[in-house]
Amino acid sequence: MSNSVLIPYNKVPQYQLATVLLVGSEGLGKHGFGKCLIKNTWFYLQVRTATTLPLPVTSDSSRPRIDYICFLIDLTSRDSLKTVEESLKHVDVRYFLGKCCFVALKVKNPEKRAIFIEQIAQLSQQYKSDVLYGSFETEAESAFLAEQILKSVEIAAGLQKNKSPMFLECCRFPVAGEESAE
Amino acid sequence: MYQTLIHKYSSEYDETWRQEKPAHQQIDRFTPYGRTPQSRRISTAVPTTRGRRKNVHTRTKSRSDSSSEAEDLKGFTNVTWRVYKLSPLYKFSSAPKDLKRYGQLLSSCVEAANQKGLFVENNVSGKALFCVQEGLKKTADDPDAIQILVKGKKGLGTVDTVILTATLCGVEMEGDLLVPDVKGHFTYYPVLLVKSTVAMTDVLITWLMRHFDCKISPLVFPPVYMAWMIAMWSGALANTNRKNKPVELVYQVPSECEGIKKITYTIEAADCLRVWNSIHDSKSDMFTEEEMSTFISSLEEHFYSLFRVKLNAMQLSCVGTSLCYIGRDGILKIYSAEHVSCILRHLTELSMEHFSLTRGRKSTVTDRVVGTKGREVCVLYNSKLEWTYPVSYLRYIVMEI
Repeated sequence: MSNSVLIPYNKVPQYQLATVLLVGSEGLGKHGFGKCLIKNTWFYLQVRTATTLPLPVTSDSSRPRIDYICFLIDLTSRDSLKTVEESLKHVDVRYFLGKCCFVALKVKNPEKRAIFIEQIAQLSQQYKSDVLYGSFETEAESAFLAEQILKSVEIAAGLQKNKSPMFLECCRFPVAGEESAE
Repeated sequence: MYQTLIHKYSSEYDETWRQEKPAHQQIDRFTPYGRTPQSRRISTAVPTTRGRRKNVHTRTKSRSDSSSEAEDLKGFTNVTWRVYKLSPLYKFSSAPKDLKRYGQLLSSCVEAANQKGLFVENNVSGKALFCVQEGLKKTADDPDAIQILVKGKKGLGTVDTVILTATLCGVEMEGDLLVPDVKGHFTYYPVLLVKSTVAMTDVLITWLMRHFDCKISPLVFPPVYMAWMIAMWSGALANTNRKNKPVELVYQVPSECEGIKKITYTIEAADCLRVWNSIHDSKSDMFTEEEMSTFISSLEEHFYSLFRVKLNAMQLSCVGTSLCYIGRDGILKIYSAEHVSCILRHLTELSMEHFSLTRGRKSTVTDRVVGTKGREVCVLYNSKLEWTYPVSYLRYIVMEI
């Protein structure tokens, strides 16, 4: 497939292994966070990082199936929001059913903020995915974010029995049938 | 006397807070004015659907004679002001005899500070004057703008010079932020402008805080707001005949790049106006967020195409247009007398936004405490807003989550 869109279900899943892709501009601390994810995980995990999507087509065959995508946005730089928005165009729509999330970083410096926090909230509403707020400054904060992400990753990779990301998405919004019955 | 003042109003506040507390799931947050938090986050006070709409300077709400007003406000131009935001002042009146009394109290305070040797140059005498400033009260809601002057002799000079100039004002304040029951006791001035040395400014601010039981802090402008201001005001030409000052953006380069600390990006005013006109429809009064981001990104992309330097990854530290120059830490210099009121109006809006964040928000069960930073606690609300509070507020938060 010469298509540059990242598709969730076009490869065979790996046995008992989950793969996370961290997408974000340079200098955010993706590698450090990847190590933190691996340290805090209770299942087998592989972390991959990228600055932008689409991922290069040449190494496509050696790449495993990506189970979960984290888009990292730095609130003090307009550039990171721009790269994330451009990368979003190269992601298949099935990833937005519980297999991706947005992470807003450097939330603790309001005086350095370069984008409105409403823009992030708008992004998450538009793509119907979670936003996590935090920073990578200390070990504890990274571990806090890692824990939340790992819970979603486990379900997205199918490692939890009888749970699929679609079930969680159904719980998020009210089902139309209920409303009409009232 | 000041001790009893604090005690009286704070007990008043505790009672009103307790009365207002309804069912535990959805709670109207009411923060007592005196113990204002050390830091506030920006969020829209009213929920907006698409983009935030802001008023462009071209139309002011009230009719005023612009030429005479420009004369009155000339004192504001070409002076470097420091901008502060205030919480409401308790028992402040603008009656002439009260103003005179405040002047005497401030003078004695300045004298005391003088004797303690706080000032580098010895001022022989410091006399403070409070008077009502004309030309800034635009609507009936605005409180009377007050001007504070401190005159004294600097060093060995014999002539009286003005050591400090300050203005307390609020221009075109929309809406009433004060709770009706306590409105009689408090006056709300959103903005304080001060021009003076650091030591004198400290004296004035501590005196105001002690005397009127308020909290004064510098109004910092994060890069988002500076981008707003430059986008709104680059389209305004101060004087079509004179040569206008170019539009200037100063960026701070992150420390990883060696050898370069800041980048100053200067654009001719006329070119900037052309870009602005192509983005914004000059007939409309409102300037939307999309127009602002288009403007800023077009300037930054142009720079990138020429120099391959990504300005959007850097922090904006100062912004200058032909109307005014704004620095990040609350420094302001206005060049054009006609636009003083619209600039002050914008500052009033920003300051009021800061203030109204702590009032009337509803917190729900999905809120959670994210982490702690020193003496502050970060709290998330509905995954959309984000707050820090000093530890003294912790008891309120714990009860509500």
